[in-house]
Amino acid sequence: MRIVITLSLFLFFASIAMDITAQGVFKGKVIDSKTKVALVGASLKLDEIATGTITDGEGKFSFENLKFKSYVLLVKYQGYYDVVQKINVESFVNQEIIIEMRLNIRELTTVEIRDDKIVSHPYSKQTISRVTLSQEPVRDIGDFLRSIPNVSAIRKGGANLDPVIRGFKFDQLNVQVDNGLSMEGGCPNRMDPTSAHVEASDIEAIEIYKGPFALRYGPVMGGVINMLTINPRPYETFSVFVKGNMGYESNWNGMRQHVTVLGGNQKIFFALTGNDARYGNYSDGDGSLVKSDFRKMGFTGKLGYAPAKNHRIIFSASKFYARDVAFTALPMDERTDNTSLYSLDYQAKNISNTISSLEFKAYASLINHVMDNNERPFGDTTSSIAAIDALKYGYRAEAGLNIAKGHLFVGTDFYRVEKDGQRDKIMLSQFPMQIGLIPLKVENLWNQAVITNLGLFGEYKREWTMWEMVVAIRGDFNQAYSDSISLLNMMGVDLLGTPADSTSSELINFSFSAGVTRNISEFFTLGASFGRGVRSPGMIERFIVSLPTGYDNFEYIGNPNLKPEANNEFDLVLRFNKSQIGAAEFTVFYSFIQDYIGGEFIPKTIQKPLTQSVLGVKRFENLGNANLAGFEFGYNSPTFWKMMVKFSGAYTFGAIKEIEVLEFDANGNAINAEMVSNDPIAELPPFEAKLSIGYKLFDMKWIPKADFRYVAEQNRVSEASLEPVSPSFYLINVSMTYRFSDYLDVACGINNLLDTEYTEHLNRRVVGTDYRIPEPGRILYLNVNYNF
Amino acid sequence: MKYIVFFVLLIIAFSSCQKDNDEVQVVYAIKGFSQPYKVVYAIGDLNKTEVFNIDPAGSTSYEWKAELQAVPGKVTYLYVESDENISNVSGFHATIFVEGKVFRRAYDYDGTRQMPNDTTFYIKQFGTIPF
Repeated sequence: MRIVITLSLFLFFASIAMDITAQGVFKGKVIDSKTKVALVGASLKLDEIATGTITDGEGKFSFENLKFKSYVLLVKYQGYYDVVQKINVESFVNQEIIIEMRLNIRELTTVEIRDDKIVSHPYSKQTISRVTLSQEPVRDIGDFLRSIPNVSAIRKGGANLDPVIRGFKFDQLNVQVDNGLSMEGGCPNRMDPTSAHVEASDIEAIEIYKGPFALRYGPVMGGVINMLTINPRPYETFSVFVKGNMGYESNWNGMRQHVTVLGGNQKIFFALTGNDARYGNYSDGDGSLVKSDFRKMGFTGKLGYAPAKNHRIIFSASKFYARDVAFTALPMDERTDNTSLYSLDYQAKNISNTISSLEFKAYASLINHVMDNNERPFGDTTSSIAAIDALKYGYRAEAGLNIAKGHLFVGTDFYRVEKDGQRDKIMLSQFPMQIGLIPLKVENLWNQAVITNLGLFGEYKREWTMWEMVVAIRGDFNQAYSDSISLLNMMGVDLLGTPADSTSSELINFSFSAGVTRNISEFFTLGASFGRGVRSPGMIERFIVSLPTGYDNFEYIGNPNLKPEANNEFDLVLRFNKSQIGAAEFTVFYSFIQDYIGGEFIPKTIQKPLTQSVLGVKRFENLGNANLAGFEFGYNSPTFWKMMVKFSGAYTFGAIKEIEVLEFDANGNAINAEMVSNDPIAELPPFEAKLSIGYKLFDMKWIPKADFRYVAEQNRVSEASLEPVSPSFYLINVSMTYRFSDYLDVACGINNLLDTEYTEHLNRRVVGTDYRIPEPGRILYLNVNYNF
Repeated sequence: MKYIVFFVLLIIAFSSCQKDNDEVQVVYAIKGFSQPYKVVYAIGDLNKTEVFNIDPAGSTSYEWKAELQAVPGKVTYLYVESDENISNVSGFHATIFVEGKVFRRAYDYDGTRQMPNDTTFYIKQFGTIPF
C-alpha cells in the first residue's frame, strides 16, 4: 500500500514537474497552397502565448518552451486567407508541420494598417475592416460609425452625419484621411463634416482612437477617426485587378456603384476609383415622407513609385461632387459641394537598425460649398444663397526610431486653413428702391479668416515581459486672424463691430498622455491611461458672423479671444482573451474638461438676431468646467466557432458645472436668467446595447445573421439648450451574405425589420418644429461585391 | 465565366447612370397694356437684371413674352411698372409659366408709387421653380 501511495505521489509530482519545466517544441513551414513557395514573414500566434512569431527567409517558424497541451494556432499573411487550426504539443515529440495557405485575391488589394508598435493599447482603439463595410449598406460614413459602441452621429438630413465619440464632437475630434490629411468643411452648420467628403466605398479601413491619447496624429481632445482609403501597392509581376460593388436600398430607392482598378509592377503601381450614389426621400416607420435625397459622385487617381525596396512614393488626386443634398433640420440645403483633395506621401521602412520608419505627407484640400433656402417655404419671399470657399493645406513628417529597447516616434505637423464666404439675401418681397435693382443684402459668414497650427510630437513605447508602457507629448503653436467681423445693416451701420486688429490670437498648447498595460493573468490584461489633450478653438467658434450654428435655436457670433479647451481623461481597460471562449473588453473613462466652449446669451438690447424665429443671439465663450464619464463593453466569440456571437454596450453621461439657463415669455423674449449647476451636456446619446448572432454554413459560403439593438430613453437632457427627451426603442435587423466564389459575393438583408417608427437622440429637430428627424422605416438592401 | 459576370455587372452599372437633364422651360408673359410700360425680369442670378421698355402701340391684345431655360430651385422674378391703370382691363395678366403651366399670375397691379402729379402702378411676381 505504501509503495502504491509513494509511486502515485511520485508520478503526480513528476507530471507537475514536467508541466512546469515543459520543453515542448512546435515548428514547421508555411507555404502557398498552389505554388508550394515558402511564405516569408507570415505571422503565427498560439492562443495563450503572449507573443507570436514570424516565418524566416525559408518560410520556417518555431515555438519553444511550450507546455504539453493543445493550442489553437492562427496564421496570417497579407493576401492569403487566415489559417486557424488546433495543434497538440506532446512530450518527447518535436512537432513539425507544413501549413498551406490559400491565396485571397481580395486581400491583395487591402490597405496596410499602419503599425504603431503597440501590442496592447492602454486605451480604446478599434479598427473596422473593409469586409465589415462591404457587407453593410454604407451610404454615409458617419451613419455607419454609429454601429460602434459609444460612437454616435448627429443627423441633420439624409446624408453627411457628423460623428460623435463619447459626447465629444466637431472640432473636439481629430478626423483625418490616410494618416494625416485633414479638411475644413465649407458649411457653418457643418453640413459637410470631414467624413462627408470621403466616399464610403473608397474606405479600406477605419481606425478609431477614443480619448486624448493618440497625440501623434494631430491635436486631439476627444478622439481620432482615421479613414484609410484604397491605396496602390507594388506587385511581383505586372498585374491588374478590378473590384467593385453595387448596392441598392429600398425605401430610399437608393442606388450606389463603385469600381476600383488596381495594378502595376514592383516599381510603378496605381489605383483608380470611381463612385456614384443617388438616393431619394425615405419614409419613416409611420409612413411619413422625410426629405432626405442626395446625389454624390467622385473619382480618385493614385500613382505609386517604389524607388528602392521598402521605399514608396504615392501621389493622389481626388474630386468629389455633391448635388442637392437635403437637410430638413437646417434652414438651407446643400446645392453644390465640390471637393478637391491632393496629397504626396513618402514612406520608408527598415532604413537601419535605429531608424525603423520614415513618413512624410504633404496635402491640400479645397472645398467650394454653395447652399440655399430655395426649397423652404420662406425661400419664396427671401432667397438666401451662401457660397463658401475653404482651403486647408499642410504636412506631416515622422520618424520611427528603435531606442533604448523601445520604440520612439518623433515628428512635426503643420496646417493652414483659409476660409471666406458670404450669404446673399435677395429680398424678393420688398419693393425695389430703383427699377431694375432687386433689393439685395450681402452678409459675411467668414471674412478672410485664417488659422495656422504647427505641432511637434513624440511617442515612446517600451515593452517588458508582463508590461507595456506608452508615453506621448505634444506641443502646438496656433495662430488665427481674420478681417473685421462685421455685419452691416441696410444703413451701412456695423452691428457687430470687431475690427481686424482685434481678431488675432496666438495660443501655445501642451498635451501629454501616459499609459501602461499589464498581463495580470494568462487571459487578462489591464490597461490604464491618463492624458491631457488641448485643442484650439475652430473657425466657427472664433469667426462665424451671426448664424444659427448650434444645437439650440440661437444665432451664434464668433469670439476670437477664446481660450483653448482641454480634456483631462483617465481610462481603464480590462481585456480578456481565451481562444476557446472568445475575447471581451470593458472600458471605463472619466473626463474633466476645462474651459468648455459653449454659447453665452447676449441681450436683445445689445444684439438682435437677424434670422426670423430664433430665440436670440449667443456668443461663443469659455463656460468653465465640465465632466464626462461612461463605459463600453464588448464580446466576440472565437473565430473558429461556427456560431458568431457579438455583444456590446455603451453609455456616457456628463454635465457642465455651471451654465446660464434662460426663461422665455410667450413671445419668445428672454425674461429671466439663472445660473444652474451640473446641467447635462446636450447631445449625449443614451445607453444602448447590441447583440448579433450569425452562423457559418457550408464552409463559410453562407452566413445568415440577426442583430438586436436596444436604446434606452434619454431623459438626462440639457435645460440650457432646451433639449427634449427621447423615448426608448429597439430594432431588429436580419441579413445574409453568400459567397459565390472568390470573385463574387452578395450581401442582402432587411434593416428595421419591424418597420419601427423611431428617432435617435442625436437627430436634430426638423426646422420650425419640436420633433426630431425620424429614422428610416424598413429597408431591404442588396450589395454585390466583385473582384477580378 | 468571371469575365461574363464582370461585363454583366458593368452593363448594369452603366445602365443605371442617368444624364442630368433637369432644365425646365420658363416663360414670362404680359398682356393687356395699351400704353408703354417697363419690364424687369431675371432668373437664377438676380444680380443681373435688365429694364425693357415695351410699347404695345395702343393694342391691349399685344402679348409680350420672354422664354428661358432654368433648373428647379432657381428663383424667378418679374417686375412691371406702368402709368396705366389696368384694373378694369379684361384679360389682363402678368404671368410666370413653368413647363407651360401657370406658376405665378397677377390680374391686377400690386400697388402704386405716388409721386407729385404722377402715379406709377407696379406688379411684382416671383417664386422658386419647384423641384
